[in-house]
Amino acid sequence: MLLIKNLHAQIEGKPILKGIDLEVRPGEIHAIMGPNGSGKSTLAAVLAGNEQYEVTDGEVWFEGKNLLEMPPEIRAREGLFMAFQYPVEIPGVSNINFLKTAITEIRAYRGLPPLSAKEFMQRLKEKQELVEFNASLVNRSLNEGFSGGEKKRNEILQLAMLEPKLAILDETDSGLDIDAIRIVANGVNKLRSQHNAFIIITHYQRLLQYIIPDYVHVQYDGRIIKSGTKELAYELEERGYDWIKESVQASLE
Amino acid sequence: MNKSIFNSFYHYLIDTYQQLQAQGQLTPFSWPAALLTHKQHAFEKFNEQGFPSTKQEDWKYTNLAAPLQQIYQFPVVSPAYPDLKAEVQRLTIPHLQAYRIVLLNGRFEPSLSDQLPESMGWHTDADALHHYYAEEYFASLADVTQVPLVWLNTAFVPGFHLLHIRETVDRPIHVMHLYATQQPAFIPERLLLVAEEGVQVQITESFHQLTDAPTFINYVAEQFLKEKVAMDVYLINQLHAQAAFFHHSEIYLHSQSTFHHLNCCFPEAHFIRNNINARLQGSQSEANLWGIYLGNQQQLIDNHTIVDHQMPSCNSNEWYKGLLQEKSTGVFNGKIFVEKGAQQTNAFQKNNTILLSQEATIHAKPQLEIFADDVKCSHGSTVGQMQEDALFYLRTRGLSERTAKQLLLEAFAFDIVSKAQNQAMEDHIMQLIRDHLDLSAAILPQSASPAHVRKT
Repeated sequence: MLLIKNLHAQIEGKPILKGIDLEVRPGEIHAIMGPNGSGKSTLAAVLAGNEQYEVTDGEVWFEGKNLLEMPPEIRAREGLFMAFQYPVEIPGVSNINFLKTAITEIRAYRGLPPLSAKEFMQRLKEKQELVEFNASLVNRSLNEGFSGGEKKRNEILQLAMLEPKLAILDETDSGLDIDAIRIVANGVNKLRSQHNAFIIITHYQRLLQYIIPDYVHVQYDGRIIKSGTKELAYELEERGYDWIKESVQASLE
Repeated sequence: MNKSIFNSFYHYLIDTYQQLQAQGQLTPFSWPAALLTHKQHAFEKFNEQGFPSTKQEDWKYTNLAAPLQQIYQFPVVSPAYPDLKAEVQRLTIPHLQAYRIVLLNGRFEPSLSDQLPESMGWHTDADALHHYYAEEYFASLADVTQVPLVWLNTAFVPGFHLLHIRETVDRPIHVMHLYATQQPAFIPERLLLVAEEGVQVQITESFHQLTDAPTFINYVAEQFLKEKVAMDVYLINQLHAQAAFFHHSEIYLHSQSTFHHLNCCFPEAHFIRNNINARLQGSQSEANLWGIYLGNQQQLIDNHTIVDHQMPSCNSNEWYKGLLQEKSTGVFNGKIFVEKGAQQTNAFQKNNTILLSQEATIHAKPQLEIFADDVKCSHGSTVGQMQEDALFYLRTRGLSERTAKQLLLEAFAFDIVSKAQNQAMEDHIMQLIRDHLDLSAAILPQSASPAHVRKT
């Protein structure tokens, strides 16, 4: 589904990603962990198409297509979704109107007619329950005045509504209390299937108690330096990141 | 006197006035002596003061020398324009179902206008000049503001229209200002509006040009709201690139009156200057000034407003928003006066601008002068570009760049447009905004603060 080869990216001339390799197949959940500043969020931003980052080397293939050649909206229509670490507040744009527009444009790209008002409302109601999202928030301006937890749940609501093939959750757990983490995790668990995949970027192992990953990767200084299964996450929680950093340093010397 | 402009158009106007006066042809109707005195006085003041230059504080960013390079001829000769009926039909606002009053080059066109109800009186020409309100009110508001372009209006205007709202009008009123000339023309135009105690009325004034000749429009409106009046005014400026538009409104509110003013400026008149002055002359009155302006090409859109709290317990809200494209320039100057005795005043002002091009400019200046102590006043002003992170966010959800921009800009404008008290007007204004937003050209910032953003 997703194949990343030797991906290098920089911002304002400063290299952040220094050769990322990753493959994600349908039905899989990958966790990317790592200390602050290792470039995890940059990887998410580059995959989503943020033009502030410049890709200097490498390839990214999504369902056999060259992802790096696509503008952000085409990536979304092809089935890629990123849940933002800091969702943007957009006053004056209603949540519901925005969702309707997004679904209409994605469906048009796939040659499908717009959902009828009834179908849309039905889907919305169903997904709202899935992420325990307060109905009154749906009618408000997009994220405006939402609490941190409400914003993150709104990201998961959008994820549920847009039904992507691959969803990247960029530190969705940061700033959430344990109840909110459980709601988000439940939502993801209900949405996962044989046909879709998730990349979960997180600093802590906490979220991974609720969403069990198939693979855990450790990213450090712009590279994935260690990959394993869920046990690696537990080990990181216990031992921290320093031992991995040290082993990397040692191998370089 | 370098604070003034005495250019060839000025000299043309002075000569023309004196010639017409000598020939007894200054006005097509005989003016009552009392009103003629105002006219003569105004001419003397204009003769002495000329046009204001950028050395005058109120004209600092608005250079009249450029639009007034032309000789705009006076009096205007209206050409035979065969399709007026079709034009009126085309410019009728959908679903508003208003009483239409059509003016061509400032003259009333009864055959194009609707039959008006008893609740309102519409008086023109000699009828207006000899109305009992004429002597009482004409020139009593606007001329005292010492604005040279108002003197110009009083001196040259052939007559005025008097709109007398006697009782609540059952439908909105739409005054359609049409302009059609073959030659460059100077068109002075004047309205006197009196709303009687307790009436409710909605008035839309729209401005349209039907020919390509350069036109200098000078429109002055004096509006009196007696006690407990509720009045909404919508100004819709849709003039062409060849138009230079000067407009001055003085609005007097008596106690417990409410006034909503929604000022909409669209492309592409090359010069627009609005002076909108609301004077709260009675306690517990309320003035709301809303504005949305959309500039393109090399357009200059200048909105100068005054909210003058003269009496206690009055409220005012003001919010102007601008979207500036290409090389357009916006000027916003919002004065709030709270005079000595005007205790328990609430006065709020906001101004936000989005620059959609690196070459667009805004000059924004709030000006608060407060002489009472028990008041709540605030003002805020922002200038920025379209939010890049918001645009990216929307695009990651599958929205095209164009749709995302449209959503963001419409949301920006909707804060103002939603102040419309009438759904048909709200829809109409939103549609005009959509029609005039050039989404393909709207660019994003290259740097956080372009050098030519000046906030004063």
